[in-house]
Amino acid sequence: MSRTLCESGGHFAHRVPTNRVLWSFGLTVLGALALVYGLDAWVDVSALGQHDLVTRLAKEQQPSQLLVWAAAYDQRAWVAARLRRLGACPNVLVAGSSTMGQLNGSMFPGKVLLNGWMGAPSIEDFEALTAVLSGSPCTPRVIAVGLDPWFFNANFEEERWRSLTTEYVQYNRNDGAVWAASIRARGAWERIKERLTQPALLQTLMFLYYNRHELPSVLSPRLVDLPFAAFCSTIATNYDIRWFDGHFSNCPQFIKTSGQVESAAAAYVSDNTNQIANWPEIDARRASRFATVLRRWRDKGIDVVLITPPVHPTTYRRLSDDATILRRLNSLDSTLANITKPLGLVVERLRDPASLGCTADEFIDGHHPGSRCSAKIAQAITKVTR
Amino acid sequence: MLFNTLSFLLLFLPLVLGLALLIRGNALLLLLAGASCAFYALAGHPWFLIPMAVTTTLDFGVGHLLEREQSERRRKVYLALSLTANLGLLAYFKYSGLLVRTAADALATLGVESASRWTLFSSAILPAGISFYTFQTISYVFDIYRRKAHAEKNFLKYLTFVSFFPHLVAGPLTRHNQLIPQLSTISEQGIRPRWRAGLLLFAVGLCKKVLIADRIAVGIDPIINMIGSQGMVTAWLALLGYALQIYFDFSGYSDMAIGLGRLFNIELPQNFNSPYQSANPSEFWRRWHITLGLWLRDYLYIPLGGNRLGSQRTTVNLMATMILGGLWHGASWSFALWGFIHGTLLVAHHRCQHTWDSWPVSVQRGVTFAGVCLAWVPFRARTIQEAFGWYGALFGANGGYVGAVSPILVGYVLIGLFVALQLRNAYRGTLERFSPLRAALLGVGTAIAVVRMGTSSSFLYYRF
Repeated sequence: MSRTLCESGGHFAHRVPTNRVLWSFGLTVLGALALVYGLDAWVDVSALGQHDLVTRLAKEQQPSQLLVWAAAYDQRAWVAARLRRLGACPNVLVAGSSTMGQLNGSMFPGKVLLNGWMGAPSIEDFEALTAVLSGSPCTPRVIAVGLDPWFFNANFEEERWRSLTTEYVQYNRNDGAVWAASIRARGAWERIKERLTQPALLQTLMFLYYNRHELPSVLSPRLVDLPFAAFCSTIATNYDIRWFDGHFSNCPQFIKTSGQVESAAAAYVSDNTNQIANWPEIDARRASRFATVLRRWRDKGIDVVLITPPVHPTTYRRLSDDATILRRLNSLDSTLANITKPLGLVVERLRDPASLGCTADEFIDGHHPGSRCSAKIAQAITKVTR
Repeated sequence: MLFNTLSFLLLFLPLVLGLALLIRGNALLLLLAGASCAFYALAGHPWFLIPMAVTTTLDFGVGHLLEREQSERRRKVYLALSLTANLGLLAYFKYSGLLVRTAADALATLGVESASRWTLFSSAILPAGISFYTFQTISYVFDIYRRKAHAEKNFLKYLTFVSFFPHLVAGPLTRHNQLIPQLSTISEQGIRPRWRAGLLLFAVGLCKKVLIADRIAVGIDPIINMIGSQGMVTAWLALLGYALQIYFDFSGYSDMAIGLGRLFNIELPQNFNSPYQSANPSEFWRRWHITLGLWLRDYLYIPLGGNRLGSQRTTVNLMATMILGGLWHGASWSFALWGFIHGTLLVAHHRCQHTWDSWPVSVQRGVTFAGVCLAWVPFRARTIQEAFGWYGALFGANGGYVGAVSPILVGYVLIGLFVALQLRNAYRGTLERFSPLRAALLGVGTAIAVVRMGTSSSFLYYRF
């Protein structure tokens, strides 16, 4: 291949033809990015491509079965599919984040519970949920909604609701076809970006490393027909486990020790967990949209109760000791009061664990109540609903 | 949207470049101007376009008035109008908060409370890049006033000169006579991308910013947040880290800007030339943020008299230029202090040049680098008090206690020092001698940088 010679400072310098250099550069960049994208898509720790699979599993799941995966699956798809499942309409629907996730059916005697918790729900999730309820033959009698502080924090952005884009668009159908198209296009773009992020790649590599002995069967969520304890004895890594009624459990060998729980609680503010320390103001627009959702639920004859879930006692002390955070939390409580009062809805302020009698050993980390504290939350819900 | 985002790399740039390849003439200028305005709106907020539109339209008109007007008195009025508008916008958006805070502090020491309505000035949001484009338009108007340039007749071309997205937000500060002729050329002939020179330089800049500057920042920010209580070792580590962070961040961004310009067959001026390899403070300012240094020389230092009015006046002119240059960087007296320190270094070198030049080159470079690093303290510190706390820590006020030093941070600092102090910069033709193997290595680095750009995930469930 010929080379181009040029003078440079009195010496002849060899200049490699542009094509070879550019091809070398371009192919390397594109090849490496394609590899990262492909790896992230194959393992799918971000649960971007699981909607149809999880919908099918949710429809098929029987009371004796657990839905399991070595990472978190598409929870939105599961909740929507269960609400649409014929003949399985719950009396009580729990909505909110994993802080409500351990409420189970035995805590609501005489009632059918569906725990529709999902990881950090956003206002879009509640709007999509409303569309699911509107289109479903199922109308729960009671919806108990757990509202965590980050829900009204404008710095807290979530994209996981995009699994329910169709429902979200349906809820906002008055906004027109162009808006709907832009939402779908934006969702497609967010998914592409997600597969090229450092956190997704790191989680993918960790997933492959820790589950390397179970490949390839571990690459998608599945139903197991084993008792909980028996299933836990078969696994070497921590699994996401969802029961038929929707509540989650952790296998005993992966539950944090009391020392670890206490450390997590003590560091909740300093670690800026869930952006608690980066919270400029209550997002008024979200509050307004949430009020609309509540109104629609109430208008369907649903008894709605809002819960501010309890946090670990040490976490609560840390939150209370920070004047700015305390101000925000008080502001959040008044916002909730302003939203619910005109609608005649109930707010159960349970953030202080002492109000429920929840002790430190009843939490699985700084902000997730365990089953004993969750049972007390369930009692509080039952007291105020029919 | 900035250069180091996927939205820019995978959507905006391919779309704009692809369309630009197909058209020429005013259509091309309209595309570039429109895309640049869209870029600016997405980089900050759509309302940022308003002050830019005001100064662009005003200065275009003033340029024509200056060219046609013969009366010297009226020409001065037009010039004053332009300067007042440009500097007024800068004063309001950038410096009003500083002036209000300073006045309030001064009044407070006298026991007088300041009115709450003045918070309107202290809370103005700064439009990104306003310092850059106002200086560009000021130089355009000034050159027409001095009859060194002609007014541009084509408003689209002028608008594209002001808003051209590669240099809009963070430079290089580009003069009208550098950019407008090139815009004329590409308008007539269409763009012929310089793929190799552009893509490779852009990639080098991206790697400098994401793989070095951003990583160093993660390591030193926690140290600097508690700098007043740091020991000598960690204080110096943080200082060296910051000196490298700001260099790789700013020069990396400039490399990306110049690389992007080349894709549109536009050559933007060089902005950094291995400044930490300088042998004296004067040379440093010929190598660091070169376009700003030239602007300050041509439109501030020389109009003030430069070095033509005697030694004492030269010192005053130099100090004034450097202090104002410091304030250009940010609305805080600590930036003015940074400028003051550099002015002092320049004056000292000027006065002791004979002695300085007698030192071995390695000593000259070492002293220059040390002086520049020490000047970075007030630049990075949030307040003057914090700056003095940092100086105290550097010289042992809190002892030599090391505390926890991250070996990864030390590694990055050592790598950064080697690159900054020993290697040739990418602008100096090294890209022309790139082999396919080096290009492939750069490709690997670029891919890592692209993935590392996405530091957060909006989909992962593991956080809960």
